[in-house]
Amino acid sequence: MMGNIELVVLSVLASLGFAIVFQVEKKDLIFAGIGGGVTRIFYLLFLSFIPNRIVYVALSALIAALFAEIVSGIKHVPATYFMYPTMVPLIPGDLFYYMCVGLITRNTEMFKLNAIECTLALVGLSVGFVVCSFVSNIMRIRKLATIVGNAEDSEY
Amino acid sequence: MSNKTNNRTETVLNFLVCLCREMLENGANLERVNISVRRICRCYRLKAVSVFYGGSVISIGVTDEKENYYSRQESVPNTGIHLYKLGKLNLLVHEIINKNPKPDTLMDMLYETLMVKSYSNSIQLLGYIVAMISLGRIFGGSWTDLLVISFNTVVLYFITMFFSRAKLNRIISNVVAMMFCGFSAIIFTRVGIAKNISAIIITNAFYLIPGIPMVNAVRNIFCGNEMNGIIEMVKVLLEVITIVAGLYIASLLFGADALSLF
Repeated sequence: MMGNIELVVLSVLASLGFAIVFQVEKKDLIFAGIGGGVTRIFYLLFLSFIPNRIVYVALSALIAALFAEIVSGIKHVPATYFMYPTMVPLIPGDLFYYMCVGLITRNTEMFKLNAIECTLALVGLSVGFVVCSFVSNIMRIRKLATIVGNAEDSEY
Repeated sequence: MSNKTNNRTETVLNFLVCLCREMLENGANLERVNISVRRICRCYRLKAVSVFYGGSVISIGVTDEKENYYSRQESVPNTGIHLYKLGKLNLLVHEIINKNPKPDTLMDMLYETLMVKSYSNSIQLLGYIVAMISLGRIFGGSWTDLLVISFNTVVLYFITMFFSRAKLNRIISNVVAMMFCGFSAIIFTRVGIAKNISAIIITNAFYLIPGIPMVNAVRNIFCGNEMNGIIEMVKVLLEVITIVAGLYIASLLFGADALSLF
Protein backbone atom coordinates (compact mmCIF):
# COMPACT_ATOMS: atom_id res chain seq x y z
CA MET A 1 0.00 0.00 0.00
CA MET A 2 2.81 2.37 1.01
CA GLY A 3 4.58 1.54 -2.25
CA ASN A 4 1.49 2.50 -4.24
CA ILE A 5 1.12 5.84 -2.44
CA GLU A 6 4.79 6.56 -3.15
CA LEU A 7 4.24 5.66 -6.80
CA VAL A 8 1.29 8.06 -7.06
CA VAL A 9 3.24 10.92 -5.43
CA LEU A 10 6.21 10.26 -7.72
CA SER A 11 3.92 10.25 -10.77
CA VAL A 12 2.49 13.62 -9.69
CA LEU A 13 6.02 14.99 -9.47
CA ALA A 14 7.09 13.45 -12.79
CA SER A 15 4.09 14.98 -14.58
CA LEU A 16 4.70 18.31 -12.85
CA GLY A 17 8.35 18.27 -13.93
CA PHE A 18 7.47 17.45 -17.53
CA ALA A 19 4.72 20.11 -17.49
CA ILE A 20 7.42 22.69 -16.72
CA VAL A 21 9.60 21.29 -19.50
CA PHE A 22 6.63 21.42 -21.91
CA GLN A 23 6.00 25.06 -20.90
CA VAL A 24 2.59 24.64 -19.29
CA GLU A 25 1.53 27.92 -17.71
CA LYS A 26 2.33 28.38 -14.00
CA LYS A 27 -1.31 28.42 -12.85
CA ASP A 28 -2.04 25.16 -14.67
CA LEU A 29 0.95 23.17 -13.37
CA ILE A 30 -0.99 21.76 -10.45
CA PHE A 31 -3.65 20.28 -12.78
CA ALA A 32 -0.95 18.66 -14.90
CA GLY A 33 0.53 17.09 -11.76
CA ILE A 34 -2.87 15.89 -10.53
CA GLY A 35 -3.44 14.37 -13.98
CA GLY A 36 -0.30 12.27 -13.61
CA GLY A 37 -1.44 11.11 -10.17
CA VAL A 38 -4.94 10.22 -11.35
CA THR A 39 -3.49 8.28 -14.28
CA ARG A 40 -1.20 6.31 -11.97
CA ILE A 41 -4.04 5.53 -9.51
CA PHE A 42 -6.22 4.09 -12.27
CA TYR A 43 -3.23 2.29 -13.84
CA LEU A 44 -2.53 0.54 -10.52
CA LEU A 45 -6.23 -0.17 -10.05
CA PHE A 46 -6.67 -1.73 -13.51
CA LEU A 47 -3.35 -3.57 -13.21
CA SER A 48 -4.55 -5.31 -10.06
CA PHE A 49 -7.49 -7.07 -11.73
CA ILE A 50 -6.86 -7.01 -15.49
CA PRO A 51 -4.05 -9.32 -16.64
CA ASN A 52 -3.96 -8.13 -20.27
CA ARG A 53 -1.52 -5.23 -20.82
CA ILE A 54 -3.30 -3.76 -23.84
CA VAL A 55 -6.58 -3.56 -21.88
CA TYR A 56 -5.28 -1.98 -18.68
CA VAL A 57 -3.08 0.50 -20.56
CA ALA A 58 -5.97 1.45 -22.88
CA LEU A 59 -8.31 1.97 -19.92
CA SER A 60 -5.68 4.08 -18.09
CA ALA A 61 -5.08 6.12 -21.25
CA LEU A 62 -8.83 6.62 -21.57
CA ILE A 63 -8.95 7.98 -18.01
CA ALA A 64 -5.91 10.21 -18.69
CA ALA A 65 -7.47 11.58 -21.88
CA LEU A 66 -10.83 12.06 -20.16
CA PHE A 67 -9.14 14.02 -17.37
CA ALA A 68 -7.28 16.15 -19.94
CA GLU A 69 -10.49 16.79 -21.91
CA ILE A 70 -12.48 17.82 -18.83
CA VAL A 71 -9.79 20.12 -17.38
CA SER A 72 -8.98 21.64 -20.78
CA GLY A 73 -12.71 22.26 -21.31
CA ILE A 74 -12.87 24.15 -18.00
CA LYS A 75 -9.65 26.05 -18.72
CA HIS A 76 -10.47 26.72 -22.43
CA VAL A 77 -7.24 25.24 -23.79
CA PRO A 78 -6.70 22.38 -26.28
CA ALA A 79 -6.78 18.90 -24.73
CA THR A 80 -3.13 18.33 -25.73
CA TYR A 81 -2.19 20.99 -23.18
CA PHE A 82 -2.93 18.59 -20.29
CA MET A 83 -2.72 15.35 -22.24
CA TYR A 84 1.08 15.29 -22.66
CA PRO A 85 2.07 15.75 -19.00
CA THR A 86 -0.76 13.45 -17.89
CA MET A 87 0.35 10.56 -20.09
CA VAL A 88 3.95 10.57 -18.77
CA PRO A 89 3.33 7.70 -16.30
CA LEU A 90 2.08 5.52 -19.18
CA ILE A 91 4.93 5.96 -21.68
CA PRO A 92 6.64 2.58 -22.04
CA GLY A 93 10.11 4.12 -22.31
CA ASP A 94 11.80 1.27 -20.45
CA LEU A 95 10.20 -1.44 -22.61
CA PHE A 96 11.11 0.41 -25.80
CA TYR A 97 14.64 0.86 -24.58
CA TYR A 98 15.11 -2.82 -23.61
CA MET A 99 13.65 -3.83 -26.96
CA CYS A 100 16.38 -1.87 -28.77
CA VAL A 101 19.07 -3.20 -26.41
CA GLY A 102 17.92 -6.73 -27.27
CA LEU A 103 18.07 -5.88 -30.98
CA ILE A 104 21.60 -4.45 -30.87
CA THR A 105 23.05 -7.14 -28.63
CA ARG A 106 21.27 -9.84 -30.67
CA ASN A 107 19.47 -11.08 -27.60
CA THR A 108 16.45 -12.47 -29.45
CA GLU A 109 14.56 -13.45 -26.32
CA MET A 110 14.94 -10.01 -24.73
CA PHE A 111 14.01 -8.30 -28.00
CA LYS A 112 10.92 -10.44 -28.61
CA LEU A 113 9.57 -10.15 -25.08
CA ASN A 114 9.99 -6.38 -24.84
CA ALA A 115 8.86 -5.72 -28.43
CA ILE A 116 5.56 -7.49 -27.81
CA GLU A 117 4.98 -5.76 -24.47
CA CYS A 118 5.98 -2.36 -25.86
CA THR A 119 3.74 -2.71 -28.92
CA LEU A 120 0.81 -3.74 -26.72
CA ALA A 121 1.39 -0.75 -24.44
CA LEU A 122 1.64 1.68 -27.37
CA VAL A 123 -1.44 0.30 -29.08
CA GLY A 124 -3.33 0.40 -25.78
CA LEU A 125 -2.26 4.00 -25.18
CA SER A 126 -3.27 5.09 -28.65
CA VAL A 127 -6.60 3.28 -28.52
CA GLY A 128 -7.42 4.98 -25.21
CA PHE A 129 -6.58 8.43 -26.55
CA VAL A 130 -8.27 7.90 -29.91
CA VAL A 131 -11.50 6.63 -28.33
CA CYS A 132 -11.65 9.61 -25.98
CA SER A 133 -10.84 12.22 -28.62
CA PHE A 134 -13.29 10.59 -31.06
CA VAL A 135 -16.14 10.76 -28.55
CA SER A 136 -15.30 14.31 -27.45
CA ASN A 137 -14.99 15.46 -31.09
CA ILE A 138 -18.45 14.10 -31.85
CA MET A 139 -19.83 15.88 -28.77
CA ARG A 140 -18.10 19.13 -29.77
CA ILE A 141 -19.35 18.94 -33.38
CA ARG A 142 -22.92 18.33 -32.21
CA LYS A 143 -22.67 21.26 -29.79
CA LEU A 144 -21.24 23.48 -32.54
CA ALA A 145 -23.89 22.37 -35.02
CA THR A 146 -26.63 23.17 -32.50
CA ILE A 147 -25.23 26.63 -31.80
CA VAL A 148 -24.40 27.61 -35.37
CA GLY A 149 -27.11 25.54 -36.97
CA ASN A 150 -24.62 24.52 -39.59
CA ALA A 151 -24.75 20.83 -40.38
CA GLU A 152 -21.77 21.20 -42.73
CA ASP A 153 -19.41 21.13 -39.77
CA SER A 154 -20.16 17.48 -39.25
CA GLU A 155 -17.76 16.58 -42.06
CA TYR A 156 -14.91 17.47 -39.70
CA MET B 1 -9.33 41.15 -60.19
CA SER B 2 -7.68 37.82 -60.92
CA ASN B 3 -4.29 39.03 -59.64
CA LYS B 4 -5.96 40.29 -56.49
CA THR B 5 -7.51 36.85 -55.91
CA ASN B 6 -4.15 35.17 -56.53
CA ASN B 7 -2.44 37.46 -54.02
CA ARG B 8 -5.16 36.86 -51.48
CA THR B 9 -4.90 33.08 -51.86
CA GLU B 10 -1.11 33.19 -51.65
CA THR B 11 -1.22 35.38 -48.53
CA VAL B 12 -3.59 32.95 -46.81
CA LEU B 13 -1.50 29.98 -47.93
CA ASN B 14 1.73 31.59 -46.67
CA PHE B 15 0.03 32.16 -43.34
CA LEU B 16 -1.34 28.61 -43.23
CA VAL B 17 2.03 26.99 -43.82
CA CYS B 18 3.63 29.14 -41.07
CA LEU B 19 0.75 28.35 -38.71
CA CYS B 20 1.14 24.60 -39.38
CA ARG B 21 4.89 24.79 -38.83
CA GLU B 22 4.40 26.51 -35.48
CA MET B 23 1.65 24.13 -34.40
CA LEU B 24 3.66 21.02 -35.25
CA GLU B 25 6.85 22.43 -33.77
CA ASN B 26 5.07 23.14 -30.50
CA GLY B 27 3.52 19.68 -30.16
CA ALA B 28 0.21 19.62 -32.06
CA ASN B 29 -0.86 16.32 -33.57
CA LEU B 30 -1.50 16.14 -37.31
CA GLU B 31 -5.23 15.59 -36.85
CA ARG B 32 -5.60 18.97 -35.11
CA VAL B 33 -3.44 20.72 -37.75
CA ASN B 34 -5.53 19.19 -40.52
CA ILE B 35 -8.80 20.37 -38.94
CA SER B 36 -7.42 23.90 -38.40
CA VAL B 37 -6.25 24.18 -42.03
CA ARG B 38 -9.57 22.99 -43.44
CA ARG B 39 -11.61 25.35 -41.25
CA ILE B 40 -9.48 28.40 -42.07
CA CYS B 41 -9.56 27.50 -45.77
CA ARG B 42 -13.33 27.39 -45.67
CA CYS B 43 -13.40 30.89 -44.09
CA TYR B 44 -11.47 32.24 -47.07
CA ARG B 45 -13.40 30.17 -49.61
CA LEU B 46 -10.47 27.93 -50.38
CA LYS B 47 -10.53 24.18 -50.62
CA ALA B 48 -7.74 22.39 -48.75
CA VAL B 49 -6.69 19.67 -51.16
CA SER B 50 -4.04 18.08 -49.00
CA VAL B 51 -2.02 18.51 -45.84
CA PHE B 52 0.99 16.22 -45.67
CA TYR B 53 3.58 16.07 -42.92
CA GLY B 54 6.70 14.08 -43.69
CA GLY B 55 8.50 14.14 -40.35
CA SER B 56 10.39 17.38 -40.97
CA VAL B 57 8.49 19.01 -43.84
CA ILE B 58 4.87 20.16 -44.02
CA SER B 59 3.21 20.50 -47.40
CA ILE B 60 -0.17 22.15 -48.04
CA GLY B 61 -2.09 22.24 -51.31
CA VAL B 62 -5.26 24.34 -51.87
CA THR B 63 -7.51 25.35 -54.72
CA ASP B 64 -9.38 28.66 -54.98
CA GLU B 65 -12.89 29.32 -56.27
CA LYS B 66 -11.67 29.14 -59.88
CA GLU B 67 -10.02 25.78 -59.22
CA ASN B 68 -6.49 27.25 -59.50
CA TYR B 69 -4.04 25.12 -57.54
CA TYR B 70 -1.49 26.53 -55.08
CA SER B 71 0.93 24.72 -52.82
CA ARG B 72 3.52 25.54 -50.18
CA GLN B 73 6.15 23.55 -48.32
CA GLU B 74 7.95 24.46 -45.13
CA SER B 75 10.47 22.64 -42.98
CA VAL B 76 9.49 22.01 -39.37
CA PRO B 77 12.41 22.34 -36.95
CA ASN B 78 12.57 20.09 -33.92
CA THR B 79 13.01 22.64 -31.13
CA GLY B 80 10.80 21.21 -28.41
CA ILE B 81 7.23 21.24 -27.21
CA HIS B 82 5.76 24.54 -25.98
CA LEU B 83 2.22 23.83 -24.84
CA TYR B 84 1.38 27.39 -23.78
CA LYS B 85 2.24 28.60 -27.29
CA LEU B 86 0.16 25.77 -28.72
CA GLY B 87 -2.82 26.88 -26.61
CA LYS B 88 -2.43 30.44 -27.92
CA LEU B 89 -2.20 29.16 -31.52
CA ASN B 90 -5.41 27.24 -30.98
CA LEU B 91 -7.13 30.41 -29.77
CA LEU B 92 -5.80 32.22 -32.86
CA VAL B 93 -7.40 29.60 -35.11
CA HIS B 94 -10.74 30.11 -33.33
CA GLU B 95 -10.41 33.90 -33.62
CA ILE B 96 -9.77 33.64 -37.37
CA ILE B 97 -12.72 31.31 -37.88
CA ASN B 98 -15.06 33.57 -35.89
CA LYS B 99 -13.88 37.01 -37.06
CA ASN B 100 -12.59 36.22 -40.55
CA PRO B 101 -9.93 39.00 -40.55
CA LYS B 102 -8.34 40.43 -43.69
CA PRO B 103 -5.67 38.11 -45.14
CA ASP B 104 -3.02 40.87 -44.91
CA THR B 105 -3.36 40.95 -41.13
CA LEU B 106 -2.99 37.20 -40.58
CA MET B 107 0.81 37.12 -40.40
CA ASP B 108 0.89 39.96 -37.85
CA MET B 109 -1.67 38.11 -35.76
CA LEU B 110 0.51 35.01 -35.86
CA TYR B 111 3.68 36.87 -34.82
CA GLU B 112 1.77 38.54 -32.00
CA THR B 113 0.52 35.16 -30.81
CA LEU B 114 4.02 33.72 -30.77
CA MET B 115 5.22 36.44 -28.37
CA VAL B 116 4.58 34.45 -25.21
CA LYS B 117 6.58 34.08 -22.04
CA SER B 118 8.63 30.93 -21.54
CA TYR B 119 10.24 29.44 -18.46
CA SER B 120 13.89 30.38 -18.06
CA ASN B 121 16.57 27.75 -18.70
CA SER B 122 17.18 27.28 -14.97
CA ILE B 123 13.47 26.64 -14.27
CA GLN B 124 13.30 24.19 -17.17
CA LEU B 125 16.36 22.39 -15.84
CA LEU B 126 14.70 22.22 -12.43
CA GLY B 127 11.63 20.69 -14.09
CA TYR B 128 13.80 18.07 -15.76
CA ILE B 129 15.54 17.24 -12.49
CA VAL B 130 12.23 16.85 -10.61
CA ALA B 131 10.85 14.61 -13.39
CA MET B 132 14.01 12.51 -13.64
CA ILE B 133 14.36 12.03 -9.88
CA SER B 134 10.72 10.89 -9.69
CA LEU B 135 11.15 8.46 -12.59
CA GLY B 136 14.46 7.22 -11.12
CA ARG B 137 12.68 6.37 -7.88
CA ILE B 138 9.85 4.66 -9.82
CA PHE B 139 12.48 2.52 -11.60
CA GLY B 140 13.93 1.51 -8.23
CA GLY B 141 16.89 3.86 -7.77
CA SER B 142 18.34 4.48 -4.28
CA TRP B 143 18.97 8.00 -2.95
CA THR B 144 22.60 7.93 -4.11
CA ASP B 145 21.44 6.71 -7.54
CA LEU B 146 19.11 9.72 -7.65
CA LEU B 147 22.08 12.02 -7.02
CA VAL B 148 23.89 10.50 -9.99
CA ILE B 149 20.70 10.79 -12.10
CA SER B 150 20.45 14.50 -11.18
CA PHE B 151 24.10 15.07 -12.11
CA ASN B 152 23.61 13.27 -15.44
CA THR B 153 20.41 15.25 -16.11
CA VAL B 154 22.27 18.55 -15.71
CA VAL B 155 25.03 17.41 -18.10
CA LEU B 156 22.48 15.98 -20.57
CA TYR B 157 20.60 19.28 -20.53
CA PHE B 158 23.70 21.22 -21.51
CA ILE B 159 24.82 18.65 -24.10
CA THR B 160 21.41 18.72 -25.86
CA MET B 161 21.27 22.52 -25.60
CA PHE B 162 24.74 22.83 -27.14
CA PHE B 163 23.91 20.50 -30.04
CA SER B 164 20.56 22.20 -30.59
CA ARG B 165 22.20 25.65 -30.77
CA ALA B 166 24.92 24.32 -33.06
CA LYS B 167 22.02 22.96 -35.21
CA LEU B 168 23.61 19.51 -35.26
CA ASN B 169 21.64 16.39 -35.96
CA ARG B 170 19.73 14.81 -33.07
CA ILE B 171 21.38 11.47 -33.92
CA ILE B 172 24.85 12.79 -33.01
CA SER B 173 23.55 14.53 -29.90
CA ASN B 174 21.85 11.33 -28.70
CA VAL B 175 24.98 9.21 -29.19
CA VAL B 176 27.19 11.70 -27.31
CA ALA B 177 24.65 12.26 -24.52
CA MET B 178 24.04 8.58 -23.91
CA MET B 179 27.74 7.77 -24.13
CA PHE B 180 28.33 10.27 -21.33
CA CYS B 181 25.52 8.74 -19.26
CA GLY B 182 27.04 5.29 -19.74
CA PHE B 183 30.49 6.50 -18.63
CA SER B 184 29.06 8.34 -15.65
CA ALA B 185 26.86 5.43 -14.51
CA ILE B 186 29.76 2.94 -14.78
CA ILE B 187 32.25 5.19 -12.95
CA PHE B 188 29.87 6.10 -10.12
CA THR B 189 28.90 2.43 -9.68
CA ARG B 190 32.54 1.26 -9.68
CA VAL B 191 33.55 3.78 -7.01
CA GLY B 192 30.59 2.61 -4.92
CA ILE B 193 28.50 5.79 -4.93
CA ALA B 194 25.68 4.38 -7.10
CA LYS B 195 24.16 0.93 -6.71
CA ASN B 196 21.51 0.36 -9.37
CA ILE B 197 23.17 1.00 -12.75
CA SER B 198 20.05 -0.05 -14.72
CA ALA B 199 17.82 2.49 -12.91
CA ILE B 200 20.29 5.28 -13.69
CA ILE B 201 20.60 4.39 -17.36
CA ILE B 202 16.89 3.78 -18.00
CA THR B 203 15.94 7.05 -16.27
CA ASN B 204 18.50 9.07 -18.16
CA ALA B 205 17.50 7.34 -21.40
CA PHE B 206 13.95 8.52 -20.63
CA TYR B 207 15.28 12.07 -20.99
CA LEU B 208 16.16 11.31 -24.60
CA ILE B 209 13.54 8.74 -25.61
CA PRO B 210 10.95 10.53 -27.78
CA GLY B 211 7.93 9.26 -25.82
CA ILE B 212 5.35 11.71 -27.15
CA PRO B 213 6.34 11.37 -30.84
CA MET B 214 6.18 7.60 -30.27
CA VAL B 215 2.57 7.78 -29.05
CA ASN B 216 1.66 10.34 -31.75
CA ALA B 217 3.10 8.05 -34.44
CA VAL B 218 0.91 5.13 -33.38
CA ARG B 219 -2.05 7.49 -33.00
CA ASN B 220 -1.55 8.77 -36.57
CA ILE B 221 -1.49 5.22 -37.89
CA PHE B 222 -4.80 4.54 -36.11
CA CYS B 223 -6.39 7.81 -37.24
CA GLY B 224 -5.88 7.20 -40.95
CA ASN B 225 -2.62 9.16 -41.40
CA GLU B 226 -0.69 5.94 -41.96
CA MET B 227 2.16 7.38 -44.04
CA ASN B 228 2.86 10.13 -41.51
CA GLY B 229 2.61 7.65 -38.66
CA ILE B 230 5.07 5.26 -40.31
CA ILE B 231 7.57 8.05 -41.07
CA GLU B 232 7.33 9.30 -37.48
CA MET B 233 7.76 5.78 -36.16
CA VAL B 234 10.91 5.23 -38.26
CA LYS B 235 12.27 8.55 -36.94
CA VAL B 236 11.54 7.51 -33.35
CA LEU B 237 13.18 4.12 -33.94
CA LEU B 238 16.30 5.79 -35.35
CA GLU B 239 16.53 8.08 -32.34
CA VAL B 240 16.20 5.21 -29.88
CA ILE B 241 18.79 3.16 -31.75
CA THR B 242 21.25 6.06 -31.47
CA ILE B 243 20.57 6.23 -27.72
CA VAL B 244 21.38 2.55 -27.37
CA ALA B 245 24.40 2.93 -29.68
CA GLY B 246 25.84 5.65 -27.38
CA LEU B 247 25.46 3.37 -24.41
CA TYR B 248 26.95 0.46 -26.33
CA ILE B 249 30.09 2.51 -27.11
CA ALA B 250 30.45 3.30 -23.39
CA SER B 251 30.18 -0.39 -22.51
CA LEU B 252 32.76 -1.33 -25.15
CA LEU B 253 35.29 1.11 -23.68
CA PHE B 254 34.83 -0.24 -20.16
CA GLY B 255 34.47 -3.89 -21.15
CA ALA B 256 31.36 -5.83 -22.05
CA ASP B 257 30.54 -6.66 -18.43
CA ALA B 258 30.66 -3.01 -17.34
CA LEU B 259 26.93 -2.69 -17.75
CA SER B 260 24.71 -5.40 -16.41
CA LEU B 261 22.53 -4.80 -19.46
CA PHE B 262 25.03 -6.20 -21.93
